Amino acid sequence: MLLHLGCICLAYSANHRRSSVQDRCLTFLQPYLIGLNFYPETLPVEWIDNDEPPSATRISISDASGDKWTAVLSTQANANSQGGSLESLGLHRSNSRRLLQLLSALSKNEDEDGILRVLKSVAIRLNAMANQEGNSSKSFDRIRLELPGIPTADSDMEPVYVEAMVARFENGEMGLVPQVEPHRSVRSKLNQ
Amino acid sequence: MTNTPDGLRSTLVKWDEYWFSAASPFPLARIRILIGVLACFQFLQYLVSGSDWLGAQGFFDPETGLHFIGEGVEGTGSFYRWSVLYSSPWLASTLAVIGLIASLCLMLGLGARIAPCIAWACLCNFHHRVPLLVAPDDLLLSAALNYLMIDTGRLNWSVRPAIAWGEPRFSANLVLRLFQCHFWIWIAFSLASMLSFPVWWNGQAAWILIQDRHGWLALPNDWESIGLGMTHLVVALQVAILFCMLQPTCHWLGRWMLYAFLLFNLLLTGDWMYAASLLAYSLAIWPISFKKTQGTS
Repeated sequence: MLLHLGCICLAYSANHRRSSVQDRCLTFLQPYLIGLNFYPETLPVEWIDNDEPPSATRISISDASGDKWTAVLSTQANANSQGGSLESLGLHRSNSRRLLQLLSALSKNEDEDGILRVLKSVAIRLNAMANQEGNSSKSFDRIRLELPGIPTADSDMEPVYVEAMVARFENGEMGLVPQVEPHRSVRSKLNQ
Repeated sequence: MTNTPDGLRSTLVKWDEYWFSAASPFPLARIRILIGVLACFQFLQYLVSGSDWLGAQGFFDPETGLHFIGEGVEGTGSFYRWSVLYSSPWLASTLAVIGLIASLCLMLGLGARIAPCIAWACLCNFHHRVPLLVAPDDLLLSAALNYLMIDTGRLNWSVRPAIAWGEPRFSANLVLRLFQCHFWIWIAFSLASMLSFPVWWNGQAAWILIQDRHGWLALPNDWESIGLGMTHLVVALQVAILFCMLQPTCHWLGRWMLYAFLLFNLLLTGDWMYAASLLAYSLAIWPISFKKTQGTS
C-alpha cells in the first residue's frame, strides 16, 4: 500500500516538471505505473492550459482558394462552426479541448511532424464524414491549425497558422502536402 | 514493543488501526454505485463516438496514436501500453459494450470482483490507446475500479442494504483508506499543478475559463473582478479541503468546502464527470448517510 501510494505521489508530482532522479524512478516503475494507468502523461490535473490566452485555438478547413475558413474544432464554444463540429461528436467534452492543447504543446515544441499527423488524422475523418453524408459542400482542400501568437516587441499577439494542402491520391488515401518533408509545410505568421 | 517509547507505540497503534481495523461496507457500497454509474456513462460515450475518434478513420487514428506514445523509442514505455485498439480499431464498440455491461453489474452489486476487473480492463484499452487525451475523471475512474477489485462493498444496488451484509470487515476499511489517501494526494497535486502556473496566482485562470465558455458560468466582459475572486477562491478551497481532511476539529467543514469546490468546477469547466468522480472519492471521507452512522475519518 505504501509503495503504491508512493508510486502515485511520484507520478503525480512529475505531472509537469520532473528531476532526473524522478525520471529514472519513473522509467524503472513504468511496467507498474503504465500497466495500472498512472503514468504522468495521463495526469492532466490542471483545469486549464496555463499558457492558453483567451483567444481561440482552432482547426479550420477551406476550399482551394483559401478565402473562407470554417472552424471545425475550437477552444471557444461559441466559435464559428458551420461545418462538422467536433464538439458535437466529441468522445468527451474535454477531449476536443485536450486535442487542441496537445496541438498547442506540439507547436511550442516546434514538432511540426506531430502537428501534421494530427491534422492529417482529422482531415481523413472529416473527409470520411463528408463522403458518408454525400455532402459535397463539406469537401475541403486546405486545413490549418490556428494558434494564439506570442507577443513580441514589434507586434501584438499575431496568430500562428500551421497550414497544409490536402492531397487525395488515386488509391483513396489522403495526405497533407508536403507529406514527405513536413518541415516545409507552411508555418507562417499572417496578419488578418 | 515493551521497550518502544510511548509516542512511537501510540503512532504504531494508530497506524495499525487506520489501515487494519474493520469498517462498515456501507460507505464503500455507495462509492461503488456512484463509480458504476460514472463508468456506465463513460462506456456509453465510447459506444456512441469511440469509433469516430479511435477507429481506423478516426480523429486520432492508430498510426497517429502509435506516434504519440513513442512506439519504438527507448524510455517511453510504449511497450507497456497494451490496447487491442491499435491493431483492431473496429473492436472499440465491442469493448464499450462489454465495459458497459460490467459497469452495470458493478453498479447493481453483481459479479463480485469480476465486474470491476472487466470494466477496468476495457477502460484501460481506451486509455492506453490515447493517453494524451485522457481526462482527469478517466484517471479517477480507472483508479477507483482498481481499488474496488479488492472489495466492492458486496451489497445490492440499494443504498439500504440488508443488515446481515453490513458486518464490518477489514477489506472494506482498506479500500476506504485507499480512496481517502488517493483523494488527498489528488487534491494536493491538483493544487500544486495549479500553483505552478502564473494564471492561478494573478487571478486570470477563472476569467479565461469564463471567457472561453468552458463551464456553465457566463459573465459580461467588464466583470473581470469576479473571475479574479473566483480564481483565488478555488485555490483557497483546495487548501481548506486538505486542511479539514487532516484536522478532526474542522473535519465536518471540509464536506461543505468540497461541495463549494465542485460547484466552482462545474461553473468554470463544466466537467460534471470530474466533479462526480471527486464526489465519489470524497464519500470515503464524508459519507452520505440516510441514518446516523459512524464516520470513517
